Amino acid sequence: MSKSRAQSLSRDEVAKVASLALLELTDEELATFTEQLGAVLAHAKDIEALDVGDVEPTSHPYPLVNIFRTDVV
Amino acid sequence: MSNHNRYESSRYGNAEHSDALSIANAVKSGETSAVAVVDQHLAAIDAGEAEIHAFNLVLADEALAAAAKIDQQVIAGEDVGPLAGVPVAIKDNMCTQGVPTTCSSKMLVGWKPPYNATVVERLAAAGAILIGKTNMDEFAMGSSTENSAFGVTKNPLDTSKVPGGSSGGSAAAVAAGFAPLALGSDTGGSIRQPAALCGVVGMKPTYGAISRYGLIAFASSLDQIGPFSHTVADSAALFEVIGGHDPRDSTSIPTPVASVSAGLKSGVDGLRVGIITELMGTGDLDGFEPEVLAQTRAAAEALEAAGASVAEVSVPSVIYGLSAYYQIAPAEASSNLARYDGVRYGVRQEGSGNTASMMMATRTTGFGDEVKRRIMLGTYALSAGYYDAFYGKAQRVRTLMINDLAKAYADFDVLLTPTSPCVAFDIGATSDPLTMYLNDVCTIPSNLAGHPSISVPYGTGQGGLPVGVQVLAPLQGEAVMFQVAAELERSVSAAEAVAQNGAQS
Repeated sequence: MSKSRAQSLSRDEVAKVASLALLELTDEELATFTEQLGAVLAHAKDIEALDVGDVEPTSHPYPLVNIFRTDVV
Repeated sequence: MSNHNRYESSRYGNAEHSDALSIANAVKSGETSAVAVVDQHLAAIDAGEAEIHAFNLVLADEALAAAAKIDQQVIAGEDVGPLAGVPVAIKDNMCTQGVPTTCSSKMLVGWKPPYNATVVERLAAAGAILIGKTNMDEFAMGSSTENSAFGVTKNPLDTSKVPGGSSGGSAAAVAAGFAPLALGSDTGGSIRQPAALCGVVGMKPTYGAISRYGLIAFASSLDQIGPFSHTVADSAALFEVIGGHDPRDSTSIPTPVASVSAGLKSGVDGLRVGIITELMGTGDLDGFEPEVLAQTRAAAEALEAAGASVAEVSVPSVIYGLSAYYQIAPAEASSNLARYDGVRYGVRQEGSGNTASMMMATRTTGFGDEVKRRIMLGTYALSAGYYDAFYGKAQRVRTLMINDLAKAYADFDVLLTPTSPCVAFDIGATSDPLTMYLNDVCTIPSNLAGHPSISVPYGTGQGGLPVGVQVLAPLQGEAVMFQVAAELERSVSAAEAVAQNGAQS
């Protein structure tokens, strides 16, 4: 986990993610996106050190459940 | 030198009233006609739009026809609604039946929604007149409106500057006098930040307070629609018109809209106001302009002078908001934008003969770079082996922030921060995506928590450009939030009146 900022994401990983997302990248775009996305992920490393193991995740700020419309057409 | 005329100087045309409630009253009383009002605003658009580019589409004929109908109703003595004859500009990510809706993306060129967003229907029912669809960062991803596929919107106060984003077209339309009211959407600050940079009021409500039915999704657990206006009272009135339960949105809070206009003149005597220490340029977060911090402190002092008690409060986890947001929002975006594959919506680019290559060609040519970055970030955050480390962790940080804010609200009624760390910046000056993301540091906490917040213009900073101060309130705290915002507005007006008298004597 001690990759440097520039290496936080590899070129191959970006290429794989792009193909999963159905995006085609030129070699030049691949290089640029690898650097840019790596910088964003490196910034996000500040939360890696946080101990939040006993904190419940929030997926929704106003939890409403079982919201259905009346079953009529 | 003084900034008292900053709105007037940014405005085109010569509309009689700049605020929506005065216009509606004048139309209802017969003092003016809705057609005359629309004509005045179309004239302002004619005069300034070529320079500002606030709109993707101006609906001149449709607006005039709607205005003529309002005038007939006035003559017939019918109830024409609280926003009768008021032109409203709408961000181009809200569905308008039969009217092109593009999200400022090549992907949706030519697409016409088969239905209206709930906010569009409620505006029409209130007598408001849709005057155009506004430019934005593509799919609402950006803080400068430079990511539009159709060209940047310029800040009406200084056309070398960005208007902010992603709802930059809506903010600019109000600042330029093209419409007294506009709607934007706010996922991480996309209403409040452009409002601050353009010197207007902009508000994001509690998650679920305004229906998202017909709002094209970016990040569904964060997106909210909200108003832009010149005055706090206008934003309050617009919120009351479009807010409240909508059975067509399963995330809509099942209660009527909060009454917020009634308390605007109540003052702040006895209210407790907390300044979030971590968002005042101290500690880990830097990049705050000193003038922005000074205006925020001046706003706090004005509230204190009006009878509020003011103190600093620490909300430690807000410094992690940016990191959590840039996992959660792209993750949701990568899922929401999977639907743009050339099959159902907008453009299709033929590939090399099979479906997969058609989808890839469509997405590769249809999306701009920022949208691609966010989709890739989100795909990565959600991919096997990384889900817990990135998305899962970010969701837990989101809980931390909600808990920290709850602690602050045990001692304070509202919280105060700058809206944006800086005033409007030069077009083309920010090429690094991460630097652009840092613009959202003060606005993101309210989105992650689902809380309401509002940006109120409060004096000027570098280059004489407007500064916005943000008032945050807890879940469904719109009434107290508007109450404090109205006091800030009164204190700015009073200070400007003094400056104006000084300049004249």
